[in-house]
Amino acid sequence: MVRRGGRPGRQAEYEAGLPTQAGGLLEPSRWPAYEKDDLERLPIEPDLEKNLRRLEAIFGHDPDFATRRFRIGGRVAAAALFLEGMVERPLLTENLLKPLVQYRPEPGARLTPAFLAESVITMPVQRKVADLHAVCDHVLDGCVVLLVDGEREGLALKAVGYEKRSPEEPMTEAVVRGPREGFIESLATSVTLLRRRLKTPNLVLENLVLGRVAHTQVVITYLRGLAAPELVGEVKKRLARIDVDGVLESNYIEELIRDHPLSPFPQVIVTERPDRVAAHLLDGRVAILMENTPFALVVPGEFVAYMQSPEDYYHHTVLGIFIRLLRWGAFAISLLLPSIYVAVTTFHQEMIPTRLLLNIVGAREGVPLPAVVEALVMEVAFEILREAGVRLPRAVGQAVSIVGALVIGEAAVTAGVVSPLMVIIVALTGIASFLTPSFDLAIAIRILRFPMMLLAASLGLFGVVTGILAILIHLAGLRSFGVPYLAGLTPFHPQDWKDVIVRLPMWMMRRRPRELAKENRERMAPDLKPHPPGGRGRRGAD
Amino acid sequence: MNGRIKVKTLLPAVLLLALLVAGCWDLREVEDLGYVLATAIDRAPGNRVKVIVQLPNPRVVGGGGPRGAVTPSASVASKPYRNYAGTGATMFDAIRAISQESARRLFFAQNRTVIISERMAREGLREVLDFLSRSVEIRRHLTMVFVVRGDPAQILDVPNPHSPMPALRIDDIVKWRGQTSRFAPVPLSRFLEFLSLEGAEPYAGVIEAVPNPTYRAGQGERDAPEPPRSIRLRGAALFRGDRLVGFLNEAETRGLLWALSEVRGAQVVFPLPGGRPGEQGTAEIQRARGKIEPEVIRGRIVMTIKVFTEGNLAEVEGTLDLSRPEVMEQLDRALAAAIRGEVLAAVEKTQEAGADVFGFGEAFHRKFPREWKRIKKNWPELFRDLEVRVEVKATIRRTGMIGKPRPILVP
Repeated sequence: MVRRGGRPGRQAEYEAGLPTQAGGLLEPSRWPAYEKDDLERLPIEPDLEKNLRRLEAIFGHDPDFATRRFRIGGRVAAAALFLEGMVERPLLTENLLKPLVQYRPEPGARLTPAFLAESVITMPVQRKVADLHAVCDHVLDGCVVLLVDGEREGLALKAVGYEKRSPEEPMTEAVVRGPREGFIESLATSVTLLRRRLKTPNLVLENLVLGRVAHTQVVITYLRGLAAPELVGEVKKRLARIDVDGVLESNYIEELIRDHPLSPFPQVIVTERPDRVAAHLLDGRVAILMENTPFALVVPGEFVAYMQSPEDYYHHTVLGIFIRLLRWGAFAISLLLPSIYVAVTTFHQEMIPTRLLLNIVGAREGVPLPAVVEALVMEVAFEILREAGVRLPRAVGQAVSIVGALVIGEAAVTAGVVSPLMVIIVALTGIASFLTPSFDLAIAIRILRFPMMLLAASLGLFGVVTGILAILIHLAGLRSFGVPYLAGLTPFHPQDWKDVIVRLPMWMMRRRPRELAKENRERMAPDLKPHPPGGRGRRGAD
Repeated sequence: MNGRIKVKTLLPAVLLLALLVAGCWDLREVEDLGYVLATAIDRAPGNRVKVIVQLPNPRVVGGGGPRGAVTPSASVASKPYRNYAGTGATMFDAIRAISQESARRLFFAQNRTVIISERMAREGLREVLDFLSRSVEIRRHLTMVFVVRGDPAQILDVPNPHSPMPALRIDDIVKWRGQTSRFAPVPLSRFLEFLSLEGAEPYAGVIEAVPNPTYRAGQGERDAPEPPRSIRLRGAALFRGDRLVGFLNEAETRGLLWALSEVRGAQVVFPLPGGRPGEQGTAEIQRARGKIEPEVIRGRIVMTIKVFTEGNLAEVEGTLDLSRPEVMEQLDRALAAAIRGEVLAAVEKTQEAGADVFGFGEAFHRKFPREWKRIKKNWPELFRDLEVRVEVKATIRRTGMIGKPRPILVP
């Protein structure tokens, strides 16, 4: 871990070049860590060799650190510093080295970085750099830094060219109909994907670097005029608080900016889909993109947002209505089915229709475990299989799922350890949990299922109801970035209900969600309901 | 200490304690219970009560175990039910006596049928009915009350491949009561309610084990024999207070049900107007509504039973031209007359027995509460001589797939 604040006397170490000790070079692992404050105190000197010696001391013998020395017009010494693999070599050769070497300067003219950037170099210029910290920063970020002998400033030139995959369909949010592009690990590409969807100067992208060591690029993005300035301010405030060594995935950020860190319920929307982010931005939300992960964060993330899938809007509204209803039903099933089964069969036998009861009894006849233990065992077995399915190499995974299905299904039933009905319940519960479009919400439900089962086993339906009430109270108390967690359901805005339990036709959802967009709520023109020309029905506004 | 912290630490502890102290005490695994599906009550010698309960054998009835039609020769293990009998000084005593034999705790919330032996019913049901109304497990809206003519143990042991369990078979037969409306199933709740009303007496359905005509005694060994008996629901039992005082036959029972608006469907046979003697028509009743309207006419109480009904023509003998409206009107009137006959027969029989199962007294009570106070003491006598008028309005809506009967040409 890097310590803050420089140490006096470090300058001498950089002057000396590579750290040595008696008997040769010091082991790289024993070199002192370089610190920002120290480096900032080292300006670029007119003496090129001195600068290079210092940088050599910093990057040492890193095999990918390249120093390309050359002479501008055959006269003035200069050097290009970059990391192999991070820059695009042809670009570097064609647009930097070639023009500079072939350039014939007027005798006696000063080759200031500003002049070179304007007149000689045909590469996009990032910025001027004046100290070693800036040099390191840009080199590490995939820039080429040009240092010219006799100048106190260098140039950082953008030449990023590392390997990256192309945008593919996100695995976690596949759709039947809809765009097949997903964000990728490269921030520039991801931003482009978003830009292509919202072609407006009001799409604001604010840059931020997080991670003391990792220096990860993070972009806050929102639509000016739609996102509440207070919301944007809050997001920036929370991001500014983050002071960790590395931010390797967006969950690092998520966990540090959530309102209620210990609640099992997600409070930040996580998505790989640019179309989804764009839709959220149009609602007035703020998105946080970062490099090295395809997962973007969107805030505020209220409960209802996790029950909405982008596909709801890409299909016929009738399907939208049906799927939504199905999804809420599956949500209830995945949370409650095992506990209701346990409660009803062990406490409320009078509630079961006679013939179904006889079926249940017949199935449970000879099962040695109490219903609740049976349910817990089966649920745990299911969780083990599910987790194994995720972790195992693909080739082995299939074998595991077959064996697992046999073990928890057929064999266990045949052996009389569990009842066939319980297999149905557990399978249905497991399958139903996949209908929740948000993986994060599904996790919360998976976890909460177990306490619900224990409540059901100890208090019957009273326990189940107590559990539901406890969850509801908890949900009602949550907030996400100033928005009540149950926004959309309560506080009650009839307008917003058009997109909660069902998804009504586009032309009916004229306004943005009230809790998000306080002003500028009109999403579309009135009377967009299509109708045949000259037909009956309301006329358009023409 | 800060109050907030106290709450935070104490709350989980209290909740846990609540779970441990209060939880699980009434937990019963589903397979540990014996679900009583039918209860038969009989008199045992020495003024004791005999209770027979029918428990399912879930291994056979509800999946899991081997399936298949149950024949009379089936072994005990594959029999879909088991009947336990217990005797005791009171009904509850008798039920608990069964637990000395039963591996399962008896559970009455799924009980659908209470069958009372005729002998017991004639002696009076006071002690039994108290238990039936007091028990927290018995669900009085779902339980149907029947009087059995014959041995109650026999009625609960009549094999049959469809609905192998007699208890559920009775339930199924009740479900299709609208096919004939010739028996009068009554929920226990209603039975008890009528019992405690001053101007109404309870009735109950009647159940019998009858010989199966398709059973042949000397059948070959290869074929499984038809079961020798069937369960049959027929008629109604009339009570005065808690005592059985008589029965209604099937037609009279339907007469009672027309008035009580309990007919959900029926087949009514009536003589064809204008046809040759002996020619009959049959109507399938689709809808029926009945009401009792008390009046006081010149100081005398007159009850009017009004029945409105609609049906389709199911069968016609002879050669009527049904396309003529006046013929249809005649049919309507003939149907109404047939229904009226059933109602009148029922009235006559109940007046004879002195059991006001129509609830005439209650109807009068509702309409003339003040007068009722004066006459209620004499109601049993008044009821016997009550003038009852019956008005039936019947309409035949449809004539089926053909209009005029198909001509049968004799060469």
